Amino acid sequence: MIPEFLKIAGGTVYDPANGIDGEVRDLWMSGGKIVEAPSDFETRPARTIDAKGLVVMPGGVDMHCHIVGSKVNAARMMCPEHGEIIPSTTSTGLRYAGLGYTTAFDAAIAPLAARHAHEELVDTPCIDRGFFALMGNNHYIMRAIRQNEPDRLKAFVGWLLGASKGFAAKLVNPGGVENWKNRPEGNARDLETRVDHFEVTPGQILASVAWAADELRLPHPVHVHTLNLGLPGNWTTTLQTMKRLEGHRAHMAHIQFHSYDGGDGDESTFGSKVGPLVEYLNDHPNLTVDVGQIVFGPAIGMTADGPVGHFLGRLYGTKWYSNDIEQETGCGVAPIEYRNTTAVHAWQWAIGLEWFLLARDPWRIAMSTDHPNGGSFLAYPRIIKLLMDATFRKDALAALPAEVRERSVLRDLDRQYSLSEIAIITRAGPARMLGLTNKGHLGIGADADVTIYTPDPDPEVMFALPRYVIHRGRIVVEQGEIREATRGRTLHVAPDYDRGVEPDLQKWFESSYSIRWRNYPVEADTIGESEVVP
Amino acid sequence: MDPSRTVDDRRIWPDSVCTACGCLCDDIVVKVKGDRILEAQGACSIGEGHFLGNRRGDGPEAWIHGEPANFDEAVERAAILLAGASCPLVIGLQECTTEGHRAAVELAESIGGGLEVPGVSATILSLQSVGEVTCTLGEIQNRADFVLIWRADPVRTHPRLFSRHVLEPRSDFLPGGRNDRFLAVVDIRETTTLKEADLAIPMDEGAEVEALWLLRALVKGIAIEAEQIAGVALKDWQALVERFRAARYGAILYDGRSNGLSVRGIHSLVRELNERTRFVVMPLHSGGNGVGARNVLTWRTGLPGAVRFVEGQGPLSSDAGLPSATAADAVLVVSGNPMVMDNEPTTEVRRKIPRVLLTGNQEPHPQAAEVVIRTAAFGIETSGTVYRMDGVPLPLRAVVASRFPTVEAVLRSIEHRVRERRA
Ligand SMILES: [Zn+2]
Repeated sequence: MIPEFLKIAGGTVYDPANGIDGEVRDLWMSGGKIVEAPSDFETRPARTIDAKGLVVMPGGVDMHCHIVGSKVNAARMMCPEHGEIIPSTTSTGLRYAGLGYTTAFDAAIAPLAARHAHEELVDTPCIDRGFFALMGNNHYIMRAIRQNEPDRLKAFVGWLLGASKGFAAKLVNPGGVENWKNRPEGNARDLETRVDHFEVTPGQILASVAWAADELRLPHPVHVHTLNLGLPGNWTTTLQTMKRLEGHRAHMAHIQFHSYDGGDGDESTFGSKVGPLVEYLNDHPNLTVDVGQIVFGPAIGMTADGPVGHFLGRLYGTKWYSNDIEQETGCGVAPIEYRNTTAVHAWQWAIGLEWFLLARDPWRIAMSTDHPNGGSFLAYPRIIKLLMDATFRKDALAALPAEVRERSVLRDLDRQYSLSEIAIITRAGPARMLGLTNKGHLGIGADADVTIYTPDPDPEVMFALPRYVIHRGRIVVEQGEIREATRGRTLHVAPDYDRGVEPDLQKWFESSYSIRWRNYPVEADTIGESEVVP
Repeated sequence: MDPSRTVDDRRIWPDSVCTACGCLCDDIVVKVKGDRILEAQGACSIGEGHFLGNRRGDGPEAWIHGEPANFDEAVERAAILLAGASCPLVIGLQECTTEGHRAAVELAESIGGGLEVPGVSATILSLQSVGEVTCTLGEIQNRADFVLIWRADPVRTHPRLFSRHVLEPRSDFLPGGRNDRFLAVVDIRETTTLKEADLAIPMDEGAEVEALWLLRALVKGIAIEAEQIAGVALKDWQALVERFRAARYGAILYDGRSNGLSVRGIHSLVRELNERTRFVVMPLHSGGNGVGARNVLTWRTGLPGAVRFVEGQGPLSSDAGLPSATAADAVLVVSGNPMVMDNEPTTEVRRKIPRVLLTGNQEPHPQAAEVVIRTAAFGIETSGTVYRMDGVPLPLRAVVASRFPTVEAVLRSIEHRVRERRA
């Protein structure tokens, strides 16, 4: 059979992973991949998209969002009035495509509910996708640390990722959630806090799982939501966490929520501590971050950090959903409304932007709103405009409460992101951080995920309405209209691990879980089309 | 993956899921000879009835107006009824797996109809007003040192709940098992469960909501002056509240069919209790996969419980199912007990309208609906994902082959015929 080709002709290509910064080029694709232009001069593509004057980028990659699984579905049930932020799986996929995104990862799935998450992923069209498996409060991991058995821990992490068909190891408030299950005010306030029953510390969990992820050569390193999310003065914990991870690769999630000055319940001391944190990041290439930018308006707090859910529900007096998941994690959901007249919210907004503008290496900072925690992913074009247009940003800052306007370094920052830098933080960078060698670039052999934009003096307009979106070589969006809801693939890992651990593991499992060991792993036929990422 | 093994002429299925009650026990060893189930080892009496009561259905694959019909005729007839309706309604869905739910959503969308999972509105309305503080069963199993059963009789309705998850298990946190746990039961009548209680509180019928308000007040520390409330001495209620306070990890379990005010009262109480100690709450649901239906409907449409598909507008909310049900002029009951609807206020309306019934029942009533189409028996002859009452998903594996199609296959056939008629 003669392969069918799709050609994008004469577009201005931004492909930073391959050092291409706005060059006019042709792109050929076939069989869902970017391919060499056929050597045979006669070969005509089945279809040519004339991209003259248009901007061509790889498809967007969202490395940290919450779009599927039991907690998202609980939020849909609890807050139908916020359906705009937490839409159905179908709408989620279509919206990502409409935004030029072709890959997204849910950042927090309890392995016990992995089967549920996979069923939702299968029903999420137009994007390739996967999830990070929660392990920060896993009993077996804590047990292995207490017994000083790193190899057992490493094997367990491999087994758990394989069994849940997850993509990466995620830590959420390591140890703190377990303490909250034990005591109403229980939590972990610093890395040396003792975890009840287990005699381990959050610092040990961080270091051990980071080590295991490295040892297993996972494509994405440990993905960390550290202690004290959202609390005044939490920057010290964040800095300690980053230091504790020295010698390992690690990703710090939604760093905005962890960069706060202040304390003692006095709101006027709340502020930004991005300075020392970003300096640390700049000097430590083992670390990457995503921002977790907030946008003003409605959002949904949604986290495996059970005590944070409780805190939010109390703080705002809203409805509150909580779900403790045996041996593994917690889960909290509560609606939030970010107001630009509320000083703390205004600080959060400014702190996110400070991170984007002060981080030196765009390859190590990714766009995210921690959807829907900071707001919907649909806000990305607006955030891009805030980064590309210093005047627009300063005008927005001017509308905030005086203390933020006057104290945030934002007012002195004139940096404007280039198109190439935007391409890095929205696709090339996150793909590299995730270890997806086929995503985030347009080199030969890459997945044919391409977004074509119409240049516009207003970057928000440009990025909100891509002209074409191509997913695995199929045209999903054409002239701004959805043309085909492609079936995406689930991306997961299948690490090699020492199977010698299984008898002990099974014994522990059968004595503590409410389901049988045999019924825990997710079978291949549950997850639809899939790909094992080496 | 097929975990079964063959010994002599028997096929043995380990760790099978029993869908007879909401516990979804997944440790049943089912022994099969040919197409007959010989034994369901580990099952409770309800579970045994579920597995052993299964006889391979014989007789016609469908009926139209009570007359035997073949599958294609029945599908054609169902398609005519649904395509010709101005407001069709798809209802039921408790007895199929995710694949069936997906097909039902797609059919409802393509016929522009309503879609409803009956019997979930009370829990959803409560969730939408106060939220929910819950857990998976294993947390109760390992941590709950205090359990309150509120107007439910799990010893009878969920026979293995206490031994597997709630009372007996020993754990690192509760090494003494039953001795480390305190069981309180509040009910309006003598139940089997009440007899097992460390603290039994029999209250007056109809006083449930009042009692819940009282408990909330006592938990908040509000002084109450009364001798008796809800037919119970105040000091007994106070004793219960003392137990709440002493709990490290308390759990309240209630009947999943409770009315809206009670559900909201219970959930509000649990939220209140979390100000002082850790407390969780869980409705005890009956068998089948209603929890899965609610889940799939929600993720596929963004709306829980009941939706209406209107062409060009996508799914719309149809609160508590009433608008769609009263307006419906053709009802498709998908693999649920049609009698479930008798608890609903719209029964009268529904009785009068033409109905298509898909059922896995082994001996369906040929006149239960205008069109009756038989499907594989749920939980015995079907595979796929089912959701336990605490939301934990489990793999269901068919232990016997069926001569009837799956729910999803029938629904897709109907959808196909509807499309053809429209084209
Ligand atoms: Zn997150």
